[in-house]
Amino acid sequence: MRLKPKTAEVLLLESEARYRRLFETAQDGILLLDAESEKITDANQFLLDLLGYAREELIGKKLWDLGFLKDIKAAKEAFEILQQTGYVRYDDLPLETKSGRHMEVEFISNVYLVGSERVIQCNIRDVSERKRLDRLKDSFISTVSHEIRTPLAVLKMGVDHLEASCMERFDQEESETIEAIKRNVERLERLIDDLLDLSRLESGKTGPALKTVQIDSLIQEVIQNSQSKAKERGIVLKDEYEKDLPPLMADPDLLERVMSNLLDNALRFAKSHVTVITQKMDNNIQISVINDGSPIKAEHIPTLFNKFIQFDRPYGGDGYKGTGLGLAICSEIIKLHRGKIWAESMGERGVQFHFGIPLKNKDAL
Amino acid sequence: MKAKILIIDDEVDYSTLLSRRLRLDGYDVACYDRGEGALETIRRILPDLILLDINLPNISGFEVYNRIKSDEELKGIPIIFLSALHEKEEYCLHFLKADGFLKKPCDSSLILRTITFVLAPLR
Repeated sequence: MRLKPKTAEVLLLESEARYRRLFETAQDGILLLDAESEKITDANQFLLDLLGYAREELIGKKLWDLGFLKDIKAAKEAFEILQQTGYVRYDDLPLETKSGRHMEVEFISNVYLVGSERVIQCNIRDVSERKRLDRLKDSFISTVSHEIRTPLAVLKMGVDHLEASCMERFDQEESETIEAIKRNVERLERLIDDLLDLSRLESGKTGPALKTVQIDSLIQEVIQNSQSKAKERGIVLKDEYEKDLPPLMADPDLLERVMSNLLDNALRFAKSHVTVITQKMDNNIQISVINDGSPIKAEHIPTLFNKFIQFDRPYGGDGYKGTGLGLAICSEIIKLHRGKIWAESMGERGVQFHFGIPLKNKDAL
Repeated sequence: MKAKILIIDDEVDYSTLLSRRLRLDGYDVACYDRGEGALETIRRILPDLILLDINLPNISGFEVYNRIKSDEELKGIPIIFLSALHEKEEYCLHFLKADGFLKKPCDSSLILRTITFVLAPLR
């Protein structure tokens, strides 16, 4: 027996049933509104459970009539943006359930046409637990860091005291022992500082302090400070600038941090040359730090900016151990500036790091 | 005459080693490990400078600072905070107007330079 082909009507019903099921079983809250009247037309079970309302209490009401939005003025503004642009997203919007429980939600909303009607769909995800864990992680890192700094201070003072009082009596091996302790105390210090900085940057607690920055002067200063280190290692450190670079809005301290991290890395692994090029590319200022040193395998490039990533390089590094956080910090800082950072392996010819900061940053941040 | 320095820090290992290092540079150093009774100790020793930790049990370094600064006899003694709570630097320098803030762990050379700098106008 041959099966009859399904009619358009049956196909439509099946499709409707599929999407209805998707809507009802979704593990995110979904709210549908009529864009013209701004009234709620439907809500899925997950949203009803999340906010503690019955479906009848929501249908036909406007969003701000219900009291779960904590900041009505901001919500109305967001609604206007949504009507104009068709999309709005919040990472942590404060909401209150019917029973008065506060929560933070991720709120994504967009407008689309169903036939001739404009429908607004809001997807709401409870991120209170994620936020709580983030805060817990930050406070844990902060406490642990302080607790580690105290015994570290004792070690550092002890070594300082030994060095000042009896270094001349030490034989070579004993001096080397002291030097090794010093190096590693300093490494732990750097690790703690970097961990705290990264956790602060990631938590968004310290946003960038934006100022008008003349990027070429900022880079010249960082390069000036690195010249002695370059000379020590027999490396020629050069900088090249495009003429008449426009100023940009950025946090000068954070950009300086990015530059010194990249330069430090470049100087550690370069064979004989490090070049820094600053130029305008489309609507960005792009800075490239190029070294002719130890290659990085192409497969390592995508993970370079992850935390605690360090590779065996064929040569270079002078036995200096980084914290494995320097590039992750750079990446977070550039993200805060709405910019891009990336690396290119040139094989045996070395490695290039680039970052770009948008010139029209003022409105974007 | 050698300048007299009082270290107030509950980490006895730290204050012991720091005092040894400071003595190498000719300072006369005393240590005290609590907030309670700190004022009496200061009155007895009358140091030229105090190195003060923040995280002290019961009475914090901030409280000790305020008590010293509201004491007519002692308020002129310069105080340098020495703490692992790096984020308190601005508060100590700009709000409390402390004479210095050193971040633990700290090179003894920096501690010595700061002490010299703070004591210079008083000599």
